[in-house]
Amino acid sequence: MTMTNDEILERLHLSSASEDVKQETLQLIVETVDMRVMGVLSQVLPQETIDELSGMEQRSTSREEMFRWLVEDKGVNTGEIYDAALSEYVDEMVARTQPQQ
Amino acid sequence: MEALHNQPQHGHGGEDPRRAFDEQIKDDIDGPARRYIEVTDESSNDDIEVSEARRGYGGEDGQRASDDQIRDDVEGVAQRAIEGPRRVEEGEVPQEDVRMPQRGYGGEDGKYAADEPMRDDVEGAATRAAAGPRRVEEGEPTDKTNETHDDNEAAVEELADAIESGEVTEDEAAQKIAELMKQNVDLKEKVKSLEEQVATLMERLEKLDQMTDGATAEDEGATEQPEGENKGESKEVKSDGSPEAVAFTTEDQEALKKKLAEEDALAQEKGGDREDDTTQHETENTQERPPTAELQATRDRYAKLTAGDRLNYLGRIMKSNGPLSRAVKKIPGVEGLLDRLNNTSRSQVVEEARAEYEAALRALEVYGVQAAEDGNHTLEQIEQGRMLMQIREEHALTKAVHDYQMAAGKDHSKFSDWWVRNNGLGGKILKAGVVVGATLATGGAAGAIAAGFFGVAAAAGLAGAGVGALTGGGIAKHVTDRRARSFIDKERTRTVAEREMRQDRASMEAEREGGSEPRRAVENEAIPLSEVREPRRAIGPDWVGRVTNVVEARTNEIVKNNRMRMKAAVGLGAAAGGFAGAHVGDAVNAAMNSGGEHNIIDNPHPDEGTPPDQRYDQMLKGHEFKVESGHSVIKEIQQAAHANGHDISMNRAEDIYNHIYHNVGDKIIHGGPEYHGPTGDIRFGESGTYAWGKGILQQIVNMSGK
Repeated sequence: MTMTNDEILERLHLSSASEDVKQETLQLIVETVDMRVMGVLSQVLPQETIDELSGMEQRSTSREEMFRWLVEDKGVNTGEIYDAALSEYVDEMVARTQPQQ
Repeated sequence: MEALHNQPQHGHGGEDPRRAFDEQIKDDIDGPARRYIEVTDESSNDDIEVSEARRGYGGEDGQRASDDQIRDDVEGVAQRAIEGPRRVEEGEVPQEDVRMPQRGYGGEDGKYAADEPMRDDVEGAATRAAAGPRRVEEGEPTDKTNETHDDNEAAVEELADAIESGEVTEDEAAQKIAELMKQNVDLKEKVKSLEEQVATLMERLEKLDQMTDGATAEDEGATEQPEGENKGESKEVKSDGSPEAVAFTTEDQEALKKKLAEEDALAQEKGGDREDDTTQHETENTQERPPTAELQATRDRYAKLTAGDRLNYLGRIMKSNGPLSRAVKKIPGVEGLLDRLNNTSRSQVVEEARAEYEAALRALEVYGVQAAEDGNHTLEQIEQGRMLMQIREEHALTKAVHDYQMAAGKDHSKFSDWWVRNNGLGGKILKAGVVVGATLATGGAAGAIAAGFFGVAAAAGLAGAGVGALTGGGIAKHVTDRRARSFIDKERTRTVAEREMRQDRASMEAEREGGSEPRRAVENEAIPLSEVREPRRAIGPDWVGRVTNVVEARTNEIVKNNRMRMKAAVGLGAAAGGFAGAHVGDAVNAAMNSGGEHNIIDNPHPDEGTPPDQRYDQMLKGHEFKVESGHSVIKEIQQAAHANGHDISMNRAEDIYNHIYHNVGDKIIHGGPEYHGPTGDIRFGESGTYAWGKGILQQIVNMSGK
């Protein structure tokens, strides 16, 4: 399930931080998680899938169509993967600053 | 002669009046100096046995006492220091038997002449002075004090005479001798007790050195203070309506230290040599400079190794059987791949790099916490600072790994390019190299991040550091650079950048018409999330878009309002109750990223058919910038100042240049060849991307604001 920004901040114990801190935090998280997802997919997707995406782009396939193909035809549920990456990321950040027994 | 024989010799034995039974005269610097000052009594010279004068011995009279005590003085010591130690002369039989040379005696050869004069030198005297007088070994017959020794000697001689003359019986003599020996033992025990006390005190002092100032105060008798008061308590912090910052109490300090200790203990249980490394880094934390350089270096190495190692890369991001792993495994064919990777041993080299990096990160974290403890910050604020630091550092590391992957792997690059072009980072276009100095008056901020935690910036002398590399700009800049350059039409006439600008404008207008959300965005440089992240679900309803807008608005405000040095900004920020930490933290990140070595890798990919760069010069106006061959650094200084909100003249830019160049010389820029122009100023040797040297940009901005 997708975490809301408030949930993220609360989990990171930043709910009482100033707005600037919150916004910067969320910004950094967005980018970091996005990079992680991008990196993971680039490592695990078959080359033919990647080539096909490039080909579709060359043929001016719409973005929506490419993602639909990726999600439905190739089983790459980017939304679920992103949510999972975000969840693990937040857990990881929490673990770094708090000892876990 | 007897009187002289019994007379204690000044300086012998140092503060400890004892001397070894072997009559070797321990000397020290004080002794010679004292004797020299007091000047020998000429009358005593009459009793001095005339002997062959030895260089430096006996001072000016060149004589020595009949009891072989070598009177020395500063002049003699100095003279021998100049001339060097006296070597054993040819044919001279050095005595190296039981009477082992004492430290400093005999100079370098450790020997002494058969005539038993103690040759000494400044080094020897200094060594003994530093080490303290030689202690009598256990069981070694000693004289308690010079006086005692002499008295005992005298007493023994008198006793011997008395026995010989029949004045005392042998039993009485034996009793007397026993009493004398007991005196020696008592003194010996007393000295040993004192030595133990000294050792204990030394241990306590060492422990105190490792603790914080607050803990030190406790040992210094701070417990006498009334309960509730502590050294850390400070005056109230004025704010603009926000809750007052509560002083970081001793209890907070103890709680924080306990937490850090627990974390260290857990880290040790998990393995690795973090303890040793952390200890070393914690030692280094006592230095003025924060250990950011080491963090950068270890991060860079770890990122490079991780980027080239698929297993470690995936292992770093995905927890085994975690949510992400499970989601990814749903992709057909991927599960087998991941299982095969899991069965592969991880690279030891990468693991070592990871351990080093984590140790460096830990060291900086500890440094920041210790720095924060000097300020008026609550534990909560410090904890928030730690969290923000971790988030920023993870961003920096992830970006570094990505950059290395992009530079090395064609396949990775291909998918990443596609991802960016079609999903990307929300289409955010952020200005790079914006110097953050002024605080943002957020007002009412209840959780001002501990400026002291990010006091690493202050400690490192940073002021107004560039943020573009990291704060929302790291990968964004790199990626959006690429994306911005990407064509969106077959004819390659329209770029993504242009499209986004139109979209921004449209979305802003639409929002103004119907939206009730207050907008802070000034420039329409952001795309609402909903437009670019489909079909993936947004993280919260359009929150990223709002984040984007706010960040952009903030960036613009910073550009317009930047005036202040980082330290002043921190102080004002804390005083105003507003958040200064982000900016200080930016300085931390800038410190981490300073020096140019870890700057954003300029787009290394000559994208096939990518047109020349569009107009994104403003994105590079900052730490990195593009120039043409022959351009002047002075001109770039003016442009950098302008990009950060300061309109300065060329004359002022030249003044700034001269000031900086005087301090750093050619290190003012790097990234390519340079040469000196007709007027002597530095010019860029070729077209391309250059970067300011470490800390240069902030100097430019700071000086521009004056």
